[in-house]
Amino acid sequence: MISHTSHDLPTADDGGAGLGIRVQVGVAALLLSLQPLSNGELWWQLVRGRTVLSGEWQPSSFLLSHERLPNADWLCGTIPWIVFSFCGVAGLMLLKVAVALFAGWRLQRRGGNSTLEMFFCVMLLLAAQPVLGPSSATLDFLGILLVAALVQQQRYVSIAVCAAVWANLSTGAIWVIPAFVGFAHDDNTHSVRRTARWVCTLLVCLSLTPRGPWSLVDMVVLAVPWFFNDRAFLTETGYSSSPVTMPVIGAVFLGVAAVASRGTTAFRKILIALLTVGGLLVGRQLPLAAAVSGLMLIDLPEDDRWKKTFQTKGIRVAFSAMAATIVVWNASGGLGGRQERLGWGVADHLDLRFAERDLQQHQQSRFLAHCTDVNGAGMLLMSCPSVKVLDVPEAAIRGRRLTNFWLLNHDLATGRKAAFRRQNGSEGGWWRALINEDVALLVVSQRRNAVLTSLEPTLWKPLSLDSPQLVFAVAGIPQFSAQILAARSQRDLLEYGGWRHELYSRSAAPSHTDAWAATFGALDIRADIRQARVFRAMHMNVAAVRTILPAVESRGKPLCEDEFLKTQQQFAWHEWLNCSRVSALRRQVLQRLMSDVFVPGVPTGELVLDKAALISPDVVRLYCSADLASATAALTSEAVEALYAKHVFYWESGDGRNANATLNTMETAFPDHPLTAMTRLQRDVQ
Amino acid sequence: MCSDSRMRYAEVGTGRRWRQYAVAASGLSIMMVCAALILVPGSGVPLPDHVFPLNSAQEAPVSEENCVACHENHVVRFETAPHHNTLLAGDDPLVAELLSGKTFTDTVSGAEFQYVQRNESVWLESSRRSSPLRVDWVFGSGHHARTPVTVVENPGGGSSVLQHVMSWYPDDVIQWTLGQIEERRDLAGIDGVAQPHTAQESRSCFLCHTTWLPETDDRLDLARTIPNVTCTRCHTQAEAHVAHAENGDIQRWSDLTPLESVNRCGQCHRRADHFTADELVTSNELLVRFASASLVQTSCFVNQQPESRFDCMTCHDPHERASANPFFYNQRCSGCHQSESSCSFSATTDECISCHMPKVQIHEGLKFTDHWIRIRE
Repeated sequence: MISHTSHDLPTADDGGAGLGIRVQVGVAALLLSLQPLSNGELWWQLVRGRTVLSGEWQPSSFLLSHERLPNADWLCGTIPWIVFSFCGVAGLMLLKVAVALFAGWRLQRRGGNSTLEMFFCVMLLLAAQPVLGPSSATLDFLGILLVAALVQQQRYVSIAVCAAVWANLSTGAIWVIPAFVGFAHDDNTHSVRRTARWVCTLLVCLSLTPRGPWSLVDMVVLAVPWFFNDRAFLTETGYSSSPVTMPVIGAVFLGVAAVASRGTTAFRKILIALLTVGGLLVGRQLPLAAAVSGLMLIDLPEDDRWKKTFQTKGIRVAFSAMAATIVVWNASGGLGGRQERLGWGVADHLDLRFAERDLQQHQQSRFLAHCTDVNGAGMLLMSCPSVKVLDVPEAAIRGRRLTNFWLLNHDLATGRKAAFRRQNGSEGGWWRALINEDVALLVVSQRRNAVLTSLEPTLWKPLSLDSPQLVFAVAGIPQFSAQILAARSQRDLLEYGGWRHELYSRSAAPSHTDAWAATFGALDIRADIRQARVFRAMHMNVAAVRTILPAVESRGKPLCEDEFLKTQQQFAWHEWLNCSRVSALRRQVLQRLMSDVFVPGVPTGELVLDKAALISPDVVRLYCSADLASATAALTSEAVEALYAKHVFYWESGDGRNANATLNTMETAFPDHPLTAMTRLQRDVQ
Repeated sequence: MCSDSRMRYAEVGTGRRWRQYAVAASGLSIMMVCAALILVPGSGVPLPDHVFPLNSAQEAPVSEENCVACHENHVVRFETAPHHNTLLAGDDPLVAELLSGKTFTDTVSGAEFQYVQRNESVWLESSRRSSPLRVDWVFGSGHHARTPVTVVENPGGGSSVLQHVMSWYPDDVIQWTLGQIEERRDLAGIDGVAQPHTAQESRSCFLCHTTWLPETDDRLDLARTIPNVTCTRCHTQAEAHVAHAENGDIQRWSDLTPLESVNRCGQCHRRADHFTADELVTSNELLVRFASASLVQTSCFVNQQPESRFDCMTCHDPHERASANPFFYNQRCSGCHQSESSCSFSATTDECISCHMPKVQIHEGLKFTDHWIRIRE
């Protein structure tokens, strides 16, 4: 039995204070879980669950054309699918909240009631936030909590049963071993031999799956994929390191605190260091490493010095305030607004409505598709149950096919369409790879801008332009022709027509609620920035700037500045290409946005301000803050540069009639000016 | 138990405490270093070399000087071959010789184009664009045409080729580049003077016209490139061959199957599987440009027997200019078609080529031999 858990000791905070701490942990759990579901695997696991419940007990082999082997974790998606089929997205959210509250309750029961332990509980919940939503990692997280509790109660047979069930639910079941060894380590009743015997038993239990003993190999391969694959191939698969977010910082904090704590034994220090470093290498393991570190921190004995330090009221208040600040900061979107915010439903990149709309006509079609990521595969398969997908990263890693999967994506991103020989003698080129597999659909994540750019000049055309997962089909296949033509028309409307963009937060489905925006008014514009990038990648620069301008207007420059700047650079480049000069408007905008003005491909001399042609700095300021109406009104000069700027403002705000009227004025007053010629060219293209 | 545990911690000796501190410090250091390496932006994971095309390796391939030592005849003969002259740098004196002073006026649109030499460079001036475009490279061996291009950096990333709408043709004139007259005759601005290519397309252009094409930060490193198709572009594993010259490590094309061999040529001359089924039809006249894609459609290729291997090199020696003499090719036909056999019919005449592989004009002054050998209606 764990002999020194803190609730065996007198706690620093008793009575009412204990209740207060319980409430604090509960509120933190609630706030940390009340964020839209954002796990990229969500739809994929639901599809797997649906497949199992429809009678196919090998879901991945049924859904993936490259998968031949049985899966150990065949039951993974069943529980979320049952919940989803009865209660929809709300049910999944309730499941997420329930997991968080359960975890908070378990941690509280384990950790006692001191303020410091409350802080560790909050940090653990923060670090575990990415795995709270329904996914295989959620089961791993719950499994670790359960194993920690069972070790404490010395219910080893139950741990063995738990391992067997866990192995059929998730390939992360291998975590039962470090959890068991780590928590049992300080139990006096455990000799090394006895621990080894139980580890062997657990390994046998982990093999009780349809995959048999090979389950262990799969689990190890997925736990340390960098050992079996080149790390470069793991990027963008979900099995590489995470970007720095608040949960990552929380996890690293717990790891460092546990290693640095005087009370942690040397064995545990090494174990935690290994798990945390492993978690840093594979982002999806980091929350699980944090769970182990956090539980071990909470288990620490409260020696006198430790207690004395944190007993004072000031320190307790400070820790409570820190925990509250972290939770609120996280609810606002975390570092740089990179995460989901306080809200409900599914995140914008998981919005299934678009895929359902695009694929409605093909629900019964038996196509084969290549998806650049697991989210695309999940969304496609949710929308078209008869479609098959080539592969997904997890299955590819398990089946040692990751290199091929990654190289196909890399060839797509780098535009290597035609067949070529690689340096290792293998053959590259995405065109032939897709033709050989008889792939009819390509599903490309909005984040893969390079793929979108490289597909532009090819026969693969998008069925729509605004989906988080853009579906491409080959032009000429009759089933898709109407949709490809419709998307083509949309493209013209977005680029040349009177289209105006409405921010995603204002047009989102009822299943997506941004409670933070509703409370504080600051809209989440990440989806809009992504959409602008998609347009820019597709060489639709006007549509890109039309998309980004409302975002600039809503949230100001800082968040959108990079994208706004890139569209301005593109415009400057096109101006230079077309009329051998860059307009005063673009020069001045670039001067305002960049300390050292630079546009690749444009001679530096073209970007120097020409004082004679200056337009009012106020106009530039208004344009940069997306107030096009005021910027237009402030343009009183009839100089060619001012008229051009006015034309640009009308054009970008979707007012084609006034844009054409301004062009007519330019043609009358400056018929031979290069800017007039270029503007005329735009009209002619339209 | 609880008190035991507390006792145990209280009794921790100084030595053990130091050991714990050392373990903690090491663990922390490892974690911090890993965190810094993994999480600090910019510390991207480098891609392994082998994912890149053979001619985009980090290191330059074996140079022709190495080949000369043992294969002087081949190398000298190859110097005049079209493959060896398929890309000219803009500052090559031949560029000025071919282009400088050439003018073209389009009678329909009235657009004027003129190549002029200025400051040791050749420039394309046009009534459609107020400033000229410098000729940075000229693609093509001149057997059919030579097309000048300008290379500019692209703010979207990479380098973009601006393919001029004017090309040089063997009758020493400039006129519309193949395919541009239909698309760009009525355009103004840059689109009326050149076709801008994406960074990916631009890379593809250079990959076929160079032996080595290094890239730095996703941009073509054209200052270091080895232009033209030289020995190592086709003869792979040259490094091993040079290192162990007697071992014959170099890839022999005769070891490839006929389809592999044609597809190797087809990497640049187009392979059949680069086309969709509806493009691979005899009525598609544009297919005549892509000999290797057409050749594999023919009965001669499909039904060939092991003893009478048939691929591109049956008729063409890639080390020299293709023969212009029909008699030469008719002889090649006769090699198989001397008598009735399982795969061939006996030839009734010695003028096979003019009927079964005629030259097809696809552009003014531009003819290609149709390699889809067949009986024409």
